Amino acid sequence: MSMLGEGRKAKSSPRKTAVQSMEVRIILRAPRASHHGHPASAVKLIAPIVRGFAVLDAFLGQDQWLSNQEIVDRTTIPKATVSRLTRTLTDLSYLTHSETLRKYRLASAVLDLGYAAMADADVVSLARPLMQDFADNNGVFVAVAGRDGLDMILFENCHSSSTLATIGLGVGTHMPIAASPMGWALLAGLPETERSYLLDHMRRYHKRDRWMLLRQRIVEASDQVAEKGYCASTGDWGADITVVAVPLNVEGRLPMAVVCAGSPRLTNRNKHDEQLGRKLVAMVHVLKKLAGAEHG
Amino acid sequence: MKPTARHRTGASGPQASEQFSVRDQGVAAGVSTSTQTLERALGVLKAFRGNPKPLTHAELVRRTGYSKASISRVAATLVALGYLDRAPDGVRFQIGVRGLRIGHRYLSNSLVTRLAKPIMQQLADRNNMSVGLAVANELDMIYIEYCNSSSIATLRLGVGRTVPMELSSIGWAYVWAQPPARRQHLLFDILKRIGSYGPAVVAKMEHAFEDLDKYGYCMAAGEYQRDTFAVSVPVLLGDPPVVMTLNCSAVSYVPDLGNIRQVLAPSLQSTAEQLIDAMATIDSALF
Repeated sequence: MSMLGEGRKAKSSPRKTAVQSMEVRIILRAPRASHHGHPASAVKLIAPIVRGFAVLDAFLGQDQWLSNQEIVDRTTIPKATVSRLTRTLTDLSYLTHSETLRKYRLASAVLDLGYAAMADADVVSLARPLMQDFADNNGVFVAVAGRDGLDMILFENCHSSSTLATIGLGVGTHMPIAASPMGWALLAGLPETERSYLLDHMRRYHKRDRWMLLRQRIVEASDQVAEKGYCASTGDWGADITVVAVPLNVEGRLPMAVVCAGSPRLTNRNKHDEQLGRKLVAMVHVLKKLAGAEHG
Repeated sequence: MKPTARHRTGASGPQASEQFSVRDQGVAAGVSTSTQTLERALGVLKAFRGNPKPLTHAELVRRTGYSKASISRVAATLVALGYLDRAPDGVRFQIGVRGLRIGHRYLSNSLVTRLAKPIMQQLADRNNMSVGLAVANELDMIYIEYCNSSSIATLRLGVGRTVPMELSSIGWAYVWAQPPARRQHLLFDILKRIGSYGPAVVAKMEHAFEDLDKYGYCMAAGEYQRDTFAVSVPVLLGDPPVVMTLNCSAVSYVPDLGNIRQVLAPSLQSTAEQLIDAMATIDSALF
């Protein structure tokens, strides 16, 4: 059982610790049918839910405070329904009502609608276009990941449009920090005390011999990041695959790492790694600037 | 609406259930059904507890107590609205991007977080700890502000995260600060939720209440997350006053009791007073 943010998991099922390293293959991308195989027309929407969320969405506009009538104007939901919905949402702390203004405003429970889960998604959404360009220009797979307990979790990935090959990793994929190049990059970007704290807890999930090996890789990667800004490795995600990772630290956000992976068959490997690394560091630099500007 | 479903809605909190029964009597049946449907959708999102991990259909059924069919329909609607997403495997569900925008909007308008942040950050930096401010959300506490000391980069519990009231000192301090009747009500609902662990949990809470009676704060070590340690004080903020809880916590070490009593707790309490002063005249509707 890992210890980071695991309290709630403790109740359900113990964490799977069997996965020691990620088995990743280059696979051919299957043509995506529809997004999840359900044609939109088949979904029958539940009207009270649609209306309830439409009321909440009305507060995404310019005005912080809205009266029932203003919500009616913005949503075209009948007034009686709106007053019932605002009352319900106020009872449940999603809205708050000001007696003096006689208007409503968003309240603390809206944080329950996914804010915490997605709080780092704005960095990810800034990253997406940059990542896609990078993937297309360099013919590689690019992903951004963060820490979830002792695992890395993939937030977003982009495939190169020029190659059909892809890494068998998708958004939401977990892999142990200690056994993935992007985990090493993440560790390299953390303050010393925090890194050693995490390492301390990871150790117990790996057999002694394997841990010595991983520990060595982590130290090497950290040295590489200190020296060049990125770490590169070959073979961790498949025999032929080069993986380059860069830590992504944005003020006030979770530490993350950006990783790219490709198969440099035609070029000199060392030169290839170096070029890719430099380009990835440059991309992360741009991303940090964008994210910093957004939140500065 | 099936009686079982109503029962469950009632279990979500004494406040909700009281208001609910009033509404039930006064309003036509069809109306209360649509209200319940919306509550159910909100409950499904809540079931993720602020975690980006995908959940299976069965897990959602287990966590919410709603029927399989009901979860399917509610989830499909939430996916269409963008509040939920299908996980990449096409089977499980995960939180969608929509909720981020609305949470962001609340926070950027919220006076309490703006006023509290600098005061809390001082405490975090001075003691090298994390400092959080939480409000109650049914039987959970939800963090509306969270400051880390500059030496910790990984936010383990950030803004918007929820913790069960009974498992954290931040929840205990909240329950303690309630008037007796409401406190009983909360304890009753907590017992109902946790079932067989009840007696042990209540014993812990009572111990915390003794501390709160005696010292004005309570502490916990390794309750919700192993290797963590926290001290919490209730604070009444704004006008009319709203009960919130302020805590400071550290990962990986537990200071000795003398240090807590003589250094940490007094400094948390003085931060609490600063918060109370800073917000004494602020209309709490602006929180």
